[in-house]
Amino acid sequence: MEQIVILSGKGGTGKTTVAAALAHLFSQEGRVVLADADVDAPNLEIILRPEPGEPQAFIGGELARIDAERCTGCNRCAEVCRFDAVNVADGRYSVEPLSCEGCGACATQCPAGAIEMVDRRSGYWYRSETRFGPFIHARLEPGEANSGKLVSQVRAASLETAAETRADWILVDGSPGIGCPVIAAITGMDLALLVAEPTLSGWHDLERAIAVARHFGTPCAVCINKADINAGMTARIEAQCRVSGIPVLARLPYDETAVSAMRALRAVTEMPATPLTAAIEALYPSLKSSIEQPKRKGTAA
Amino acid sequence: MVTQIVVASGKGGTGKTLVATALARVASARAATVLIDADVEAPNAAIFIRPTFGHARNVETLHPVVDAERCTHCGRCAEVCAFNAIASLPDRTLVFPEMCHGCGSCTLNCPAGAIHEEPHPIGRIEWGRAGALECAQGELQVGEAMATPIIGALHRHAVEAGWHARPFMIIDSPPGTACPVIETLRPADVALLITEPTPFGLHDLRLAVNLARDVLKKPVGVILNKDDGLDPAVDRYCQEEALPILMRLPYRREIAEAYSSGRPLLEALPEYRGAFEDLLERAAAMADGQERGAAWNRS
Amino acid sequence: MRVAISSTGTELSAEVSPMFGRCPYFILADTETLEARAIPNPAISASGGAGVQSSQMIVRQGVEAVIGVNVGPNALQVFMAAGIPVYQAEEGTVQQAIEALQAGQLAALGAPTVDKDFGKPGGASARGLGRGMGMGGGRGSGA
Repeated sequence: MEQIVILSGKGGTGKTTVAAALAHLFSQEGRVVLADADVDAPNLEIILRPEPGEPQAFIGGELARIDAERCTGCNRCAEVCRFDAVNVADGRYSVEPLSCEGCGACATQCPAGAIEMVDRRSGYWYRSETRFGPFIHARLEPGEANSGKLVSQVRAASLETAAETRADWILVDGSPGIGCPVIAAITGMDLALLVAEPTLSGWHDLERAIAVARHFGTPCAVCINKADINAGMTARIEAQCRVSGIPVLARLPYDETAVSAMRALRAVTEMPATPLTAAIEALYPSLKSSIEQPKRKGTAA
Repeated sequence: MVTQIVVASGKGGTGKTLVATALARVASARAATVLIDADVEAPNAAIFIRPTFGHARNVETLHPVVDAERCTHCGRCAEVCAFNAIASLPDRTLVFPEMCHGCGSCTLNCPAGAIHEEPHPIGRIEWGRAGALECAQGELQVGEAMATPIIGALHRHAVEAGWHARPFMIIDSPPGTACPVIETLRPADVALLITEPTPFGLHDLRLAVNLARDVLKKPVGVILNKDDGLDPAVDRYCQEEALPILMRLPYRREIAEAYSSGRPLLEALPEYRGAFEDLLERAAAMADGQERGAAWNRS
Repeated sequence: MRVAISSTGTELSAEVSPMFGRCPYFILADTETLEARAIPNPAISASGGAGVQSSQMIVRQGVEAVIGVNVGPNALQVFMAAGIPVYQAEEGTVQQAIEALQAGQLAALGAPTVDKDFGKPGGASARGLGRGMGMGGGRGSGA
């Protein structure tokens, strides 16, 4: 069973468009479990149109709560809080939920025992069914933190589902950036497919994404989306990947099919054939052959 | 008194940096302006603005260090750590710095006083100028998980550097709706949310509006980019929600090409200058419509 | 020998869990007598650091070896620091994994002997092995 994550560094390069098409292609060949690890802006569900499963509450951490009756106004909580989460108004102490990280330092230090830590429901996750296979997705409540932890939950559920269904692959649609939600999505993957766009910004962010993959020991490969909007930049990216030993698996042409497929709520490969659908269909076997055999001998990363 | 205009979006790739940099150029032609790139995981504004960053400062978090001589292996540190960043074993104590949030609880609660904290860099901020435009950006070190403290450092620096006395601060936000965006939006006087007329764009715009307007209580204006006129759904949504569309940029290959080679929009297509001047007026008017957000005063 | 195995269920006939930090149970078994009991994994709902939390709990059980399928770098580092070898099982049941261990068929994921400078500030640091989901990448250091 192999696990692939689709990342980019930069937003808007086409991760979800490529993910949906690959989901379609994998599902035609074998059993695939799909997951959306972009938990604060989850878009894969728009194309997959899942039969939603039961919402599972996600407790992302804890929130400190100050009991006004017991509070003596000694200010110790405000002194220890590193996140400026203690508000004082008219001598009344309260916790600002947007700032509180749930570390509990205040609760351990309050001499009056006036602070308790309560579970914080940060969002929901779902195990749903789609036309391509089981789909794990999640939504972070607005204003909540801990997106990385919710991504870990999505990953854990996808592994469980893959074991139950004896799936051949897990395919994860990741988020932009390089911080904790991306780290939670990239560790322990067999391959990170980095979707690049041939822009200076895109190249800049691709380099950072490659650095993150290397840092965490995840093999990566690149496909260049909308490759023909700047042939010079595409060539530069390919040359640099060659130098760095990173395979470039495909150049996907700019094609309005990508947008019309999205508007039709379909994967690109479910639309009538175009150069883009052909390019993704050609990417598919290259992708599979670039995944190394799953490490059964526990070799060092 | 500064007007802080944050340029954000739910979906990535909708044109935040394109708009923020053009807006900053137009603003700085009128009055002293600061441009801050708060997309610290993928800062790109400098590509278009080409500033000279003369100054930089590391952003650090505090990590615990355990004194083996004093440690009694009581396990209290592991017990209080909410993030599982300390493992207490029978004969040693391991710290996992990537899990650590720098809260200090282990240090405060160690009965043997065996833990002290040391600074650990997670990234940096740098600042300088591009002509009349003052600029700053933050950058998260590869391998580090938390962008938020770097964005906080940018906000604090803005206060220290006296930028709250400038008429305009334009802030380029990260995409999405998670903690880095919340931190970026905190001191905003107005949030400009950029979207594209596609199902993904609309879906993520709703999330961004929910965050900026309903949770963070900011005035919100929408900018519609890459508008090919083929999808009225975003327009309909904005009408239903009484959200003003402050600017529309058409889908045009020339705009995409200029962006792809790092060419500033107003240099490649100066005919858009007027649209950005209008945008600035409208954004400032929205910001004026309510009491200015408190100057960022986190110590 | 007492061994802990990540499991999807409470019986020896349960499948070995492909996850370590968030598996539902650990089976503690004696490899000779096959006496076994299941303990629920306290880290299953951990919002972060599940590998660190679950591995600490197992160390406290006093086992001499650990079997998993994917063991993340943080959990692995805890076991290495505690001097407990970790073995990688193929997909199959807990019982099959124990038998394979007894037959010497399982590959070790972590060295059973620990460098004397390991874990000391400035000393050798572990490079994570295994393919788990650890947020940390096994860079713990300590006293």
